[in-house]
This record gives sequence, C-alpha cells and structure tokens, in this order.
Amino acid sequence: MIKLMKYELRKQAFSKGIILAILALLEIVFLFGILSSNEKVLGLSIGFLLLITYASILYVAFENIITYSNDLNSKRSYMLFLTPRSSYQIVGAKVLTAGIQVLVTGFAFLLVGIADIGIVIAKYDMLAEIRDMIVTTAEQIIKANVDTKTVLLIFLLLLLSWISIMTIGFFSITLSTTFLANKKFKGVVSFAIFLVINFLYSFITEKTIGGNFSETYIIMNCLYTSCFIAITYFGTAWMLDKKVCV
Amino acid sequence: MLECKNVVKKYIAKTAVNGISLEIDSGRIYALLGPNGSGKTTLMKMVAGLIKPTNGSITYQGLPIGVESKAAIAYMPTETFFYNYMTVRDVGRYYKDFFPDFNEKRYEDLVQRMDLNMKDKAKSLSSGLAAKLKIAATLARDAELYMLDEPLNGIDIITRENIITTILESAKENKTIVISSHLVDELEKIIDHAIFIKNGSLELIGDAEDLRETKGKSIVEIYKEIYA
Repeated sequence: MIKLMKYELRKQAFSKGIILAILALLEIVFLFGILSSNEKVLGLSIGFLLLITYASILYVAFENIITYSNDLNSKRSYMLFLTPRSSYQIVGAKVLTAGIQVLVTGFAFLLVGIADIGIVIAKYDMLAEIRDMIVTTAEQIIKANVDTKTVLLIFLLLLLSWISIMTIGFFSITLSTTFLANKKFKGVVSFAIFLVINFLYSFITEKTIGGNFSETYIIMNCLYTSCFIAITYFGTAWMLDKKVCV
Repeated sequence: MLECKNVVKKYIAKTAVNGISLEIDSGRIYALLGPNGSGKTTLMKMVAGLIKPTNGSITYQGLPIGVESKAAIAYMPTETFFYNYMTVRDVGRYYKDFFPDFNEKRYEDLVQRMDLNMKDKAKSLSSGLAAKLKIAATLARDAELYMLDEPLNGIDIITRENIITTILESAKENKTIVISSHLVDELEKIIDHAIFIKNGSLELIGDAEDLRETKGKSIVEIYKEIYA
C-alpha cells in the first residue's frame, strides 16, 4: 500500500510543485510589500494569497478525482492494474493519499496564513485593534465553553467531507465505466452520478439528523460521512475487481 | 498451468472472444496467431486480469485470475502505457517496487542491449524504442509465464532479431512464453505450439511440428490457409 501511495503522490508531484512555486512567489511579493511599506503591493499579494489558498485546496481535492479518471480511462491504467495488488489496496491507497494531501495542504496554508497575519500585525500598529479583536473573540469562544474537542470534531468533519467527495467521485467514475466502457459522454454521466449521490447523501443526512448545529450533530455527521466513505470505497473496489475492464 | 474454459467476452455490439477453451503447459513457447480483431489481445488481457470474461473461467495454477496470477504472469501489452513523468530508470524502479521477480541487473543489461538510455523520458521515445522499453521491463522479470502482445510491431528487422534472441534467452525449462504476432514467419522458427484464433473462436491448436507433419505445410502456409 505504501508503494502505491508513493506513486500516487509522485503522479501529482508536478502540480504540487507549481502550487508551491506560486505560493513562494506571492510570499516574496508579500514580504516586499511589508519591507517597502508599499500598501498597494501588500494588499494585492494578500488578495492573491487568499485566492491561491482556496484554489489550491479545491484543486488538490479534485486532482485526485481527475487522476483516478485518467488512471481508469487511459492505457496508463495498465501500470496500476497489472501490479499484483488488489483493487481494495489500489483504491485504498488513492483515498489515503487524497486525505493526506488535503490535510497537509490545508495545514501548510494555515501556517503560512498565521505567519503572514503575525507579520502584518507586527508591522502596522494600527492593526493592533484587529489583533485585540481576534484575542477578545478567542477569549469569548473559550468562555462559551467551545472546547478543543468540538474544534477537533469540526476539523475531522471537514476532512471526512473532503474525503467523501473524493470517494463519491471515484465511485461515480467507476460506475459509469462499468456500463459505458469507452463512450465519449462517460464524463458527463460520471458527473451526473456524482451530483445525484451527493444530493442523496445530503437528503438522508438532513432527514435523519437534521441541521441543528450541535456537538451531537457533528458526531453523527462524522459517523454518517464515515459510513458513506466506507460504502463508496468498498463499492468502487468491488466494481473494479468484478466488473471493470481497462 | 493456464486453463481457459469456454471463455466468452461480449461487448454491446460484438463478441470479441467466443467460447475459447485451451490449456497452456509449462516450459513451452506458444504463438497466438490471427489477424487484427480476431480476439488475441482480448484473450491475453483476460489472462492478465485487465478484462473480465463475460462467461467461462480462466485459472492459473488452479486459481482464478487475481493478485497471485499477476505476480507470476508478465504481460506486455501492445500499447505504450508508462506514466508521462517516467524515465527509463523510473520504469525499472516501478517494476522493482511491485514485482518481486524483477531483476534489476537484467533490466540494466536489456536497456543497454536495446540501445536505450536510463535518462530518457518514456513518453518521448519513438514507437520502436518504446516497444523495446516494454520488452526490457517485461523480460527483466523472472516470471513463470510471459505473454507478449505483438512484441515485434514497429520494430526494425535488426532489432527484431535482437528481441527474438532475448525472448529465447528467457525461455527456460520452467518458463512459458505466449507471443501474439502478425509476423508469423518471424515466429515460425522459434515456437513449439501454435494457436490459431479466428473471429473470436479457436480455429486450430497444436504442437507446431505435429501441425507441419499433419498438414504437410509450414505454420506460415497454415496461417494463409486459415485466414486467406
């Protein structure tokens, strides 16, 4: 499994390099804005940093789905499916790699964001008010008994939700491959299946645990999402094993 | 060692393989013969586990096609299939990571013999060099069964001889080789068995020498008789 994960990461290394290069470039522009006290450059770099953060996390998640689609629908599929590995290991490696990538990317951008906010506050005294406001809000949150457990649960739910998007993507692509083989409109059908499954998932969640945001809701949602990940993961691997021809 | 029982592969509009039953024995060289679209590649891909049969069964050493058979069978597809980022060296590393029977030293020798360069990108190789790379990666495995789909396609006559010599080197007592090719005359002199497939069905199968004696013709002539 580790070897499969190694090659999953290697396949997507180029795009990660591009993201890192853009991030480094924007950070240089940001630091230039700070050092030269050029507020126009600084504002522009912060805007682009926010944009690249959202775009990168989205791209990292969806790149895994695109890579899976390419692995299944091109001759490159032989590289994977000729190896003496079960389809459960192959899909498992993809899911784990995707989860790790989303986690690492999100964490990396969070660290960069915290560092940049710190630099800006340190540079501009007038932003001390913002700093005080952040500190006050944090204190209020702590007073309101929003404990570490809840915060961790929210992060867990976010991560599981991202992973479920990917496993639903894998499942949709595999399902369309079983009955459409190499038809040109297969991509559209996969996307339609993806939307339908997501709708069904939201519908079931809404009807059974409702939308009342509480700790119980978060825990239940985590459990639902985990079950959904398991169902789509096993479904994908089973179809690959029994039904899919590459 | 390999047994196909009434294997059928149907697609929506056509039947690619139509009830083929055959047995492949250990330590022999087989030629899988037939024109384009006769079902050779589909049959090989089913044995390699890439395509699932619609009906029938395929077993290798008594077990259905799966992880165990993939570890023992070295299949070389007719298409180029390496990842875009890979160099010739990366291909070797990939095979080494996944196939316990992969011999790194033999791969290096084969790469050298095939005039390949470890630093070359697989995707930028010419079709002839890409075919040589596939051969090198496949034959560097110490597999029990080699299945080579059109290994001589797009390769010049000098290199063909080189490849045939390399294939023969891999043919040992406990090794089995199945080669599909249109170039029947190239295979005539090296094969022990011939399998003729026509329109997805088994047309003729037998020991090459017996077929020549029975029919009073060479394999090339039998091929012409069946498909002309």
